[in-house]
Amino acid sequence: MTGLVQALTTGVLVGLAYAVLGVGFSLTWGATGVINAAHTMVAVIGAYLGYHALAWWGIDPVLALVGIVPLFFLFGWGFFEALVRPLKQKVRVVGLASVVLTLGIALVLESFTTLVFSANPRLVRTEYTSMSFVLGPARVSGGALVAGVISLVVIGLLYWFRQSTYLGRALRALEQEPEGAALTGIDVRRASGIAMGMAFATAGAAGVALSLIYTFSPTTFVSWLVFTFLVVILGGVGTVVGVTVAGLIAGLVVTVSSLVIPFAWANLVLFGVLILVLLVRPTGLARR
Amino acid sequence: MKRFKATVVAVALVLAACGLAEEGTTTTTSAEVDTPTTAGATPPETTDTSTGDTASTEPEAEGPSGDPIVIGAALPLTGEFADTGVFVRDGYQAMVEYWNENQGLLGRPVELIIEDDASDPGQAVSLLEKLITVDGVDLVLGGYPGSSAAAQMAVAEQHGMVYVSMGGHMASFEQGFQYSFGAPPLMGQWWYRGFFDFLETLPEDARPTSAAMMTANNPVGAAVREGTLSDLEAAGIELVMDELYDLPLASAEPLVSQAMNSGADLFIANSFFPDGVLTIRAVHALGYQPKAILEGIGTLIPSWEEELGDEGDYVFSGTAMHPDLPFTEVELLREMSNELYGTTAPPIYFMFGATWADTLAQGVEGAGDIDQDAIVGWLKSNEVCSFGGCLTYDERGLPEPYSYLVQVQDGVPQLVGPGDVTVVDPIYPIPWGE
Amino acid sequence: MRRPSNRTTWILIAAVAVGVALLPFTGMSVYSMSVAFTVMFYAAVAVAWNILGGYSGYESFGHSAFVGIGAYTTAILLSEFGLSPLLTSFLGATLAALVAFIVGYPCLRLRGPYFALVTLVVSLAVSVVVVNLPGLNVASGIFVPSPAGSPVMTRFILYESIAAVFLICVVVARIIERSQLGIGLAAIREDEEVAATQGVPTTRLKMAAFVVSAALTGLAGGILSWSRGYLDPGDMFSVDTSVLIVLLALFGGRRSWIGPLIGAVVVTLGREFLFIVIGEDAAQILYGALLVVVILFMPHGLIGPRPRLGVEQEVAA
Repeated sequence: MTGLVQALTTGVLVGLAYAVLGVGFSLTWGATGVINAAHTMVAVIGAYLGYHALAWWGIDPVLALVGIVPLFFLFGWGFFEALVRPLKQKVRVVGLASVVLTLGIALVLESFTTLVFSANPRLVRTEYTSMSFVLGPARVSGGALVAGVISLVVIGLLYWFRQSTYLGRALRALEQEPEGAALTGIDVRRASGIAMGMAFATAGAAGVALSLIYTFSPTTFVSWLVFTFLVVILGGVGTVVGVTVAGLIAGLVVTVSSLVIPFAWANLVLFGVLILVLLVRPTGLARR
Repeated sequence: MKRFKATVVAVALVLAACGLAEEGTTTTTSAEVDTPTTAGATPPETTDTSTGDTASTEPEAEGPSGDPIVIGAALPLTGEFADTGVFVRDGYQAMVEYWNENQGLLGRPVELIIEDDASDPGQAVSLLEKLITVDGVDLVLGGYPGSSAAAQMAVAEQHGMVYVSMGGHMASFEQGFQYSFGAPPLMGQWWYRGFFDFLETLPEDARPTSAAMMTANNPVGAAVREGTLSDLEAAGIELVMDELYDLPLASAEPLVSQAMNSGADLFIANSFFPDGVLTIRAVHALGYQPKAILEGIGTLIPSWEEELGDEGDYVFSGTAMHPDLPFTEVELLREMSNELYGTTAPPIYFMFGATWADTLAQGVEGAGDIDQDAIVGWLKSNEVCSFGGCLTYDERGLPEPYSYLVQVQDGVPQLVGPGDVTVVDPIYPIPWGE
Repeated sequence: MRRPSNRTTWILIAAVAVGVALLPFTGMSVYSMSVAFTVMFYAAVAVAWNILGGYSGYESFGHSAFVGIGAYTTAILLSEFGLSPLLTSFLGATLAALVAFIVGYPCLRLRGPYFALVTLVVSLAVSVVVVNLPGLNVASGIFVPSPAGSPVMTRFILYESIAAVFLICVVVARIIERSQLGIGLAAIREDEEVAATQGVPTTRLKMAAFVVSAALTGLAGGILSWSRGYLDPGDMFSVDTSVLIVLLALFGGRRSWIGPLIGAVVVTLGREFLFIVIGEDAAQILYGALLVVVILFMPHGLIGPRPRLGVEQEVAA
């Protein structure tokens, strides 16, 4: 029994990490049609900034978010204006083209990150990352716990924003009905820019959160990108709840199934779940 | 960018060498059996003023002269394995520059061409072939990591070129390659020998009785696991958990949890750095308290010490190379390291690179020629003493199996065995709760 | 561009094939045969990918799975049983086709970017399965014996083998292009719903294209492993390879077999050139910048129609 509770706890924490990385990516896709392959590279840069805030100035990476989040928001908006808008003017359906574009950006960012910070892998160490906390019969590391809290806050804020603010609802309208939204007086350009800004901001926060659990280097963005794809296909595009649920499912499937089958096959169970869901609901778990 | 860095290094080393020159000129002396020497150099502490004692009949030359000897290698300088590839390259470059400040190789200056394979084994193979067939290099040096090295071994063999490298674990040395040398190899199968030798020195009731093992599902992990299985059997330790995991690892808790529940008092994690860190953290978070923890190859990279630090305390591992090895010439590497990295503890892969280069050079000097067959012949019939110790190579190009025991203490991987190289004593069992 | 006549194109293909086959006899160096091998491998796989991706608009981001299946089939049969990849690569192609058949149905129900991502995930699943298959020792790495003793002979055999595979890919692609299958695929690319209402058996056609594409890719993969002395699973099933294949086809233009061929030749040779001349740091930045530029200014690839500003063009479904 304790084994199961431990597996559930770990699964939730891992799942939240996947989810916080995926929500921004999903939102970008929904609001602008852009599949941002550079999303996780932005997250990695967020991780580097948090790491160096600690290393150079002794500022905890979580506190550094105060600076990172607004900064990345501006970057995201700028990214939209400088690159995404011109692309959307050239092609009507952005899909594949955006993957290529953002992949190019990701590679460039990776090279610069390597030049500036070197390729050596990094690890964030604060007072709480080596602590162990007891949650009932389960135990969790401090880093995972704080990361989980950050994830919940980010996801929660995002959800609240989309449900309760004018801009948030405008974005949801934009996702549902791109042409119709413009007709109802929504400034599509501004809304899209803000959506992308928020996506980058969440990426930065996700990077910091993940850095409390995982080591990272410039090339880490590739494996994080794969996690992200998984979670968004499973959860759906343009949905916070869908992606979060998908992340939790992904984390839980791996930890719980490894209780009964060899660990190496747990990933296959996850892939199997994904394929099953897609057979029934091709656009992902969330209702579209 | 590369040339700029190389120039800086060259200048730094020249300045260092000028500083060293105050202490003594270089002479070629015959290698003493017990003290490792490097080709064409004298240990700095043994001479104070210029001596007339020279075995060479040439007049004392200012430096190497004549047509350069060209050495080529393909390494990952960008991409996934760049962090380590860069250290190997530095080791090669440092040795080449050192030779060029002294007598060169066979009295000739040495040129080094390093191609970047971008962490792609296919590129590693084709670039090595290009170096051999298009650039016409006289000698080649090994690549990284083991997958690329294994693939390059086949290419070097086809072209009849001596290939000194880390190898690709035991399987690569069983392909019948005549031109390959693991000098020393990174041999997964030997990795924990130091640890199991240490266990034998303990009273029977102090030894662990059961082991739980988790292994990264790739050639390195597989090689380490293979060796561990026979080590465990020989030690009479029961294996109660034997799990594989694919990289990247999303969470180590399920595996560590399983290990803990199995009650094993020896925990073995055949891992790299990212998964190794997750594993260690999971051990602490879950409160698993085995008598000893064995870790794979994560401890080989500087990040283990720089990033994980004392969180990894008491973890045992193995290695074929260590900055504290008590061989005289290691001092030379410490100085080079100081110039390059600002620390007198040279990164392990820097040491490996330097050792592979040095071994090749000794083969060349010993054979008196850059003829590949002559070099092979010499290397297989002479003891070669370099930074890692004195090694004799068999038909396969392998030395006798060996592995030093390393334990992380106060955040630093320390040499704790075997007896003749121990710097500090190993701490066993792990003092949980203190 | 006026389309050359059917007969002319076939003659051209035959001429090029003969030329390519005879080229080594003009005294190609080992290295240039090696580079040519790489170019032809990517050209073959890009053309194969394009049968699904370009003709029907279903861009697969998981084709390295088929490369890997073909590669491991020949590698294991060669290293364990001494069977020549010239024969066993067809078995590899069949296995790849089988896998495509199994995963095709669920995957092809998704459109556009969803299809792209799910194929990526499926390729990961395939790699996990292959790596963990009991008894094959895939995870610990496989040593593949070389085709011949001397470097020259080795590279020559590999060159001719991949040239043959490449030729097969081009021929098959061209036949499909001009067939009912090709017309049906083009209709799907234009507008799948409309095609379905017009009675085009969309599912069957997509499956056929997917299976053929996978088989040809597996065939090429079978020869690829022969060119590597050692197979590392991380390398054979890499996501990078999948993405690169897409980029090559995209770069060249996707409506006919010529596009991917040009893309493969230009990009592969360009990368070799960049690697060697500029050095990898700058090369990667340049490569990334190139992708950005190409997409912004030539979203249809080198030989596709250029978008005129102000007029909207569709790129992909």
